Amino acid sequence: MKELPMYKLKVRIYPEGRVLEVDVGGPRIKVGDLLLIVEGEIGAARDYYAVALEGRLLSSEDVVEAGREVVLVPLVTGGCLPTPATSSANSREFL
Amino acid sequence: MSGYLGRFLEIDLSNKSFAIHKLREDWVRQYSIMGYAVRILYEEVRKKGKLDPLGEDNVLVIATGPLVGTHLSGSKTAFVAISPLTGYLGKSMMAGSFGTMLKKSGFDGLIVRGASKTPVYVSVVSGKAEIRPAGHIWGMKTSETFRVVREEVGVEKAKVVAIGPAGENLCRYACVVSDELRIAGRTGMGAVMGSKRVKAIAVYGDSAIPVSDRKTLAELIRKHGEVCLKSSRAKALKSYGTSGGLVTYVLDGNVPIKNWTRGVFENQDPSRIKITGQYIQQVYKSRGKSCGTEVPCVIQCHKEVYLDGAWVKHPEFETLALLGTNILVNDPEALIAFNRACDELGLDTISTGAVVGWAMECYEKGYIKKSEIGFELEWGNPEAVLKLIEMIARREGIGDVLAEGVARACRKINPETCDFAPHVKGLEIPAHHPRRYNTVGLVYATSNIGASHLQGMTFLVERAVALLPEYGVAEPPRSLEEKVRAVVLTQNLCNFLDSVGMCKFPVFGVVDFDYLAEVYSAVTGWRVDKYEVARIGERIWYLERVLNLELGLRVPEDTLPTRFSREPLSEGPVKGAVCPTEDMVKLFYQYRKLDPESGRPDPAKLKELGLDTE
Ligand code: SF4
Repeated sequence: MKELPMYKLKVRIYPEGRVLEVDVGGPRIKVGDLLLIVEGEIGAARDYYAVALEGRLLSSEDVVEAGREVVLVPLVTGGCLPTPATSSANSREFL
Repeated sequence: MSGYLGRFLEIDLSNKSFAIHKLREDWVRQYSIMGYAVRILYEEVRKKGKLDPLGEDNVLVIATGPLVGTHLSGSKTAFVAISPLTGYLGKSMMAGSFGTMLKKSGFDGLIVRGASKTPVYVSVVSGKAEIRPAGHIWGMKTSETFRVVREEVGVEKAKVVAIGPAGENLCRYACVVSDELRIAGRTGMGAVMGSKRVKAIAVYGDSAIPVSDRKTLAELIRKHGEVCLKSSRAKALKSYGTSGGLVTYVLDGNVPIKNWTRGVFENQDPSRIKITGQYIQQVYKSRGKSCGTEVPCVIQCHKEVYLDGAWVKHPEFETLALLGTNILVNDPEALIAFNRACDELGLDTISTGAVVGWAMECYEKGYIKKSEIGFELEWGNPEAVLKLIEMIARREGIGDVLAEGVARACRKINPETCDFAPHVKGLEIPAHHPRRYNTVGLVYATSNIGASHLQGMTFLVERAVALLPEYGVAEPPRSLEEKVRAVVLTQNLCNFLDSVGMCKFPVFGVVDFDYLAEVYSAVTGWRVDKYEVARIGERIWYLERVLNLELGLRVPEDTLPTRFSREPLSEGPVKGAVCPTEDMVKLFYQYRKLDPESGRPDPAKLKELGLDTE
């Protein structure tokens, strides 16, 4: 029988530094879905944390590739970011 | 009038006399209490014209809203006067028990007029008001002042607010500090007290606080407690306090780094950042508590750390950002020391951090020399920062110029440095980043007190943390028009919360404004809905605007430093982004119905709000 590939992502929890290896079920995953998996794994509500990759917070719509390491930081001001910085800035749709 | 005691104590320092000011019910209904204080100021300006903020004619109103002392989480006291930084409206909200005790002493507020020739302190204790000599405490740091004043008034439970040497020396961003280390930080209210030579105010009493419908209120408070315990936002605030937000905001690009010129702090690696609430609370023993002994708050966002054998105050997010990332200091003990020094000397940590950051850039660019300072002022040097804080508070050496705030100091040092002086209308810019959250830029540009993040907490709306579906904001704003609408709405709502004395933390992202309307109705007995709640806040915004226009406000002042709109960062999470200030302000004017030439509100708008100011 052919073995299914495992798509792992390392999730480092801040501030403890504990690293979770989660199977994201495919080559990439949306941040919103990743937070759901993490909620199942560690029991913390999905709106308690945000996900950062390479020194930058991601939005819930952003996609992370399997094999990467992300950091989970508690959102003292709550909620998952809806928009990445550069797309929210300079929006001139209205004018 | 339930919720209100119906009277202010009027203190005339020039004549050393007291009078009772009976509250006008029509104004109370229109504005609630903080707005009432602004109205008093407005009447004064209409009578006397432009007031010198540090002159005898300026009026300081200390007022506390109807929700204060009702056992609801959150208790705020407003300090309102003309600001020595801006020359326009000054106001700052103080957390903690001072307001509750002020109400228990029998007053909704104090109106402080005139100026004493010699230092005094005011005591309103157990039904007796006195102006007492303060020559023996003039010059003392705040902690020592609290001890002496409490001893002299003879009531252990008395609550005291005081100024430090910075207020005495009229540093324009001196703050007022409470004995629970809660601060009325912004807009120089400490300098106003200093100009009147009032070192401290002590209050104590045991008057009952009137509430219209106690049973309903008790049920609403119970519900609020339950919601707070379930809310992720409240839980996170409870765990780490506001300082826990620093790591997230660094990764989000929502902090000042090197006076707003850099986008990367400690390589954006959380494990390298030592000034986050999480790091500090892992390394040092810490504890959380409510902001005051009389404030039964479920969130208890205030943190203390155990250092050198004593519990000391943990710096808040704004302090960690302005005196940390902003000036490239990544040392937790240095931050605790800066915070302590500012509280003891009576300096606003936000303005202080902004001034120090600007001075460091001046030094780097050669506008200020080592010979003028007396030591090196390179980025990230904690010893230099501590020395500078002391010099500012005492107006020693270069501290004398820096005590003026960046808007004045830049003109004195070299007008070229005004290009990178971070302020709006003279008030230094706090930590939330206009390139990251454009709405924050608009809040700063159009707030009636200058750059304040608490005059419209749109960064929470842009993050989808505190959406306001009850007002039709069900999603984070994306277009400029939606952003402007969110700014206007949150400006109004913040004004309402400030005016009724409610803390913003247990509200935004925790409960909705239908709930707040129910609370206000239960306390006052006046049936209001969420629309009236927003209207009270809106009316205050226009009243403040009209006051500022009387004081000479001009349209070009509704703006941000061009650094945010014309100088994108070359790195980090906000790389390439700028704040479209001009476009947003233009739309804001349309939305608020302000004349583009004069900045005046449309008279029809004022009439619609029942504002009889024209
Ligand atoms: S949330 Fe914090 S500041 Fe607000 S009332 Fe509670 S303890 Fe005080």
